[in-house]
Amino acid sequence: MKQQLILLREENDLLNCLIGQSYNQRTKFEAEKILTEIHSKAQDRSIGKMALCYVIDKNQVLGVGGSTLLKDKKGKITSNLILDNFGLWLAKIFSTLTTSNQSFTGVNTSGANSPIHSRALTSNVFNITSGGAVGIRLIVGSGSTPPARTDFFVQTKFVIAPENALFASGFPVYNSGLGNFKNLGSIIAGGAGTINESALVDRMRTQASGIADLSLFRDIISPAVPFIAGQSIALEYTIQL
Amino acid sequence: MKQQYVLLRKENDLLNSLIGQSFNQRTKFEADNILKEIHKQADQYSMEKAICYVIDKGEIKGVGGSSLMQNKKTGEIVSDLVLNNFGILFAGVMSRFRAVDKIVSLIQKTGSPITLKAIGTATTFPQLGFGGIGNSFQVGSGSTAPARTDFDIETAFGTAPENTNMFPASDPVFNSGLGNFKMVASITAGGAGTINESIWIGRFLNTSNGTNEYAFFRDIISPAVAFIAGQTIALEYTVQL
Repeated sequence: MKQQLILLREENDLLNCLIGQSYNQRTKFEAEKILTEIHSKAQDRSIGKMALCYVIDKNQVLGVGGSTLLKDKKGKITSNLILDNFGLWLAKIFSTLTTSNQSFTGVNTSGANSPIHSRALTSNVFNITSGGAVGIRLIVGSGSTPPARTDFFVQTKFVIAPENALFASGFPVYNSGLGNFKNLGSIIAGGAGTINESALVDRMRTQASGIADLSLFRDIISPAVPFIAGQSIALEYTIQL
Repeated sequence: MKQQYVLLRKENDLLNSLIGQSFNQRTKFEADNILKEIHKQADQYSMEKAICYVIDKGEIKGVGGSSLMQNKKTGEIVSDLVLNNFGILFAGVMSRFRAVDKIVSLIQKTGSPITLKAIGTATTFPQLGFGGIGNSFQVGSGSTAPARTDFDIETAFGTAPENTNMFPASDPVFNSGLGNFKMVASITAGGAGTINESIWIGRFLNTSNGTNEYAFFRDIISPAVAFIAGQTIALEYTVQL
C-alpha cells in the first residue's frame, strides 16, 4: 500500500546550527538531541530508528541532515516509517514456539521477491554466513520522494563510486542505559551531489542458498546535504528500543 | 544498571470502563485505543505494549495494560522498557556486514548467562533441529517497576497453567498499514490470583546446541487484573514498528 505522506523538511533546519563546528562526540550528541526533540512532535512513532548524515571536510561539519517527519492526509505526524521488509522479518522471528520452518518473502534491492527462512532445519537461515558475508550496510542517495513501507531501496543512487554503492557500518554495541544501538559508516566521496535520502540494508541468506540485500529502513534526510569529491560522508542510524 | 522508575499505574484506570462488556474485536480495539492515548504522554516510547484481559462467559471481568513509568531523577515519562536481552540480541543480528560469527551473551530465565550466535557459519539462534524455537508469554503477580536487567517474571503464580508459559495459538502477521504485529495467548486459570506483570519469552538455540528461554519484554499491568479458577486469561502483545 502506497501511503500518501507529506515531508516536513523545514522542521529539521535547526540542524544547520552545527555547520562549521568540529565533527566530534559533542557535535554528534547535539545533533541527536536536536533531532530527538524535533521528532517528539510526532503522534505516531516508529521503533525509534533515526538517521543522521554528516558531510565533513578537514574535521569540520559542512552539512548535517536527519530523518524527516512525515504528515499524512489527516494531519497526523509520524516520525518516520520502517519498511515492510523489516516488519515481515521481525514478525517471523517473533513467531510461536514450534519445530517447523518459518519463512517470509522480502523484496530485495532490485525489486525482486526473495523467500528467506527466519528459522529452519537446514543451514539456509537468514543469518548463516556459509554462503558469504551477511549483515548491515548503508547507502545514501539523492531521491526526495516520501518513504512508503513498500520501498525496497534508495530512490536515486549517485553515479560515482564509492557513494553509488552500499558501504560498511561499524559494529553496533547495545547501550543498556540508553536502550539503543547505532550503525555508523563513512566514505570519502568520489564525486559531487546532494544527499536527500538514506537506507539501511541487511544482506541475508535466502532459502535457496543465495544471498539477498533487503532494505529495512529508508529515510528522507533534511536539510539536504551537498558534498564534493574528497569530503567525508558519515551516516549513522540509531535504533532506539 | 538498575534504573529508578516510579510506576504511573493510575493513568490506566480508564481501561476499567470496559469491564462488563463483551470480549470481542470492538472492545479489543477500544482497549488498544485507550492505552495508545494514555501512552501518548510518554516522552520516550518503546516498541511493545501488553494488554491483559480476564474473561468469564464472554464478559470482560478485568483489563489492564502496560504501565507508564517516570524516571525519578529526570521526571521523564517512558512508555515501558525493552529488556537488555532483546537489545543485545537485536544489535547482534543488526551487526555489520560480516562472514565471521557474531556471538552475544544473554541472561536466561534462570538468571545465568549463555551465549548465542546472532550471525554465524552454522547453528545460529533461530536454527531448528535441537528442539522447538519461538516465543511465548507468562503472567505473574510481581509489581516492582521493570528494569532493563530483568530476566524473568518477578513472582510466578503457584497453580498451573498460569504458573508457566502461555503459548500463542498463531503466528503474528505484520500489518503494513498500521506498521505493527500482534500476538495473543490465552489459558483457563487453574487457581486464583491477581495479575500485575507479564513477560514476552523467546526460546532460541545457544552455541552449545541447546535451547534456553530469555525474557525480552517485561510489563507492569495496570490496573491489576484479578482472576479465579475457570476464568480465561488472555494476553496480547503489540509490537509497533
